Parts: sequence; C-alpha cells; structure tokens
Amino acid sequence: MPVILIVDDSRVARLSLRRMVSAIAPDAEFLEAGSVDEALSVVAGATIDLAVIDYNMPEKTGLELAEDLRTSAPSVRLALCTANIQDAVIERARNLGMAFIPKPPDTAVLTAFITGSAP
Amino acid sequence: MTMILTADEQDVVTELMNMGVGRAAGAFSRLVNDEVILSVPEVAFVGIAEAQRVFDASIPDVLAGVRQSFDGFIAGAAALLFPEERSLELVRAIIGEDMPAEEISELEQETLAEIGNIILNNCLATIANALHSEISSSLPETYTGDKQGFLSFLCDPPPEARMSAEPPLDGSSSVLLLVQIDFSLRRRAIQGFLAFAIDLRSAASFRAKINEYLEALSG
Repeated sequence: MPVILIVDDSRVARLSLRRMVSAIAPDAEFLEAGSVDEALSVVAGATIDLAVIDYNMPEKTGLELAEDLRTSAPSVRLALCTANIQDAVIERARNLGMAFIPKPPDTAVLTAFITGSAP
Repeated sequence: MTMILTADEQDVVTELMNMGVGRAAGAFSRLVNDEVILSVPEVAFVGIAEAQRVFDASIPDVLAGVRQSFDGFIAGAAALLFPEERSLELVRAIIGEDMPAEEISELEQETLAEIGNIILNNCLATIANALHSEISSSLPETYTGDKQGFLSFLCDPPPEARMSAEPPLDGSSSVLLLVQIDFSLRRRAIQGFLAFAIDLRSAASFRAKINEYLEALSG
C-alpha cells in the first residue's frame, strides 16, 4: 500500500491526479499539500513512499521542495509533474533524481512512476 | 519602439505558434479526453485599438479566461479565452461528469486556472525550447467578464510587479501578438481562443532569438 504525497497549489490538479493514481494503484493512500511549506510539514509527520510535485507554486517551486526532500527524506521517490515542459526544467528535475511527468499526465508515464517500472 | 517584422521573421513566429499550440492541443486533448480540432493560427501584431476591433468582431461578448504573465527572452502575458456559457461544461469534462452540480460550480474558477496553466505553459515552454531559451511564468489568474474589460486585464502587469516602479504595460509599451486560433472539441461544442500581449521592452531580444533560429535553419 504505497503512500503518495501530492503537492500542487491547484485543488483541481490534486483531485484529477488522485483519480488517475487511484485507477492505477487502487490501494494507494494519499496525502496532499498545497504548498512547499505544507508539504514539508506533512513529510515531517508521516512516512511516504512517493511524491508527485508541481513546479510552479506560490512562494517556492517544486524543485526547491525536491532539493530539501533529497536530504530530509532520501528514500522517497520523487516526480515533477508540470505543464512547464521546458528542457531546462526537465534537466533540473533529472539532476535532482526526479522522474518527469508532463502535465496532464499520460497514464503510461504515471504508471511507470507509481509502479517503479521503466517508462 | 515597434514590432514590425520581416516576412521571414513573421513566418518564424507563425511556425513557433504552430508548434506551441500543437503541443498545447495535445495536452488539452489528454485533459478532456476528446479530440481537439485546431484551425491554422492567424498571427498578427496589432496595437491596443486594433486588438479591441479584432476582439469586437471575433470573440464572444462574455468571456471566461485565464491569464499568465511571462518573462525571459520575451516578456508579456498570454491568455486563453472561452465563451463564458461553455465554461461549466469544460469543467465537467475535466473533473468528471459524476460530480454534483454545486461542487462543479465551486471548482469552476480553479479548473479554468488549471486548464489555462496547462495550455499556456505547454505552448510557452515549446516556444522557449525551440528557441533554446528560457522563460518563467507567473501563476494563472482567472477572468470572467465582458470582452471590453478583458483587454486591460490581459495588459495589466502581474500582481508581483504591481508594487514595483516599472511602468505598467499599457497602450504605449505593449503590442499584442494576436494568435487567433479556434480550437474545438470533437464531442463537445466548445471553442477557445488564445491571445498574447508582448511587452515591447523585450521586442529586441525576442527578435534576436527569431533571427538566431532563422540562421540555424539556413546554416
């Protein structure tokens, strides 16, 4: 039963991602955060397996969150899920060891990340 | 400063918009699970007065729209517009037909913002990638109202810049790159439009990038 943290400032984006992930992994448990700071406090109080993180959020970006999680929660597998599909953003995500999921997610790409198989 | 382009430069802009909008249409199609039919984009650089005339003639009176400002090698704002009366249907297409009506209407603004975020970012990012450049974008802001008010909403500075000393984008400092593109969904009667306002202070660097792209093509 994977525990998945969804970080996105848009409630609608979190809602639709949850629907998609539930279809892939019906036993998944979800935690949600609407900002980087909220995500950090969620992570501090729970054990999570996966985090799907938006890039463009108020105050801090998803990449800043990933940098923090790399040291504070190194066992969590991370994905950046954004419509900002610029090469530069994708490269920064890869450099942080994140998977990259273009938004809206393609089911095959999302499945590969959730199940840990190659895309 | 003006933004008068040569025929070749204008061609590049049209081609970039084709790529950007094509990519955005793919994303939109996945989002609504329907085929998106695109018209050929009509690209024109116009002043504020001319833009208002085009809007008056070709877009619905009451709009639901989303705007994001962007900055980098090119600065300005991009907006996505839908006829207001279709917006709930669009929301339903995205968050599911099974949602109760009151929840759908509660999520309307947020859904529009997310649609705008996805379409505009896919489009802007594709253009930036093609030009080997980087662009940063603000968070989406939604608009519901008439088309007269929309133009000033589009040309308004982003919230984070409203406090700064920079003069706002107004009739004298911005040119509108009107990209009229009709997109419609095969199974639902929904049409949309895209418009970009470009801050003329960034015209020189935009033009330089267009010319680099042209040189790479011919070299």
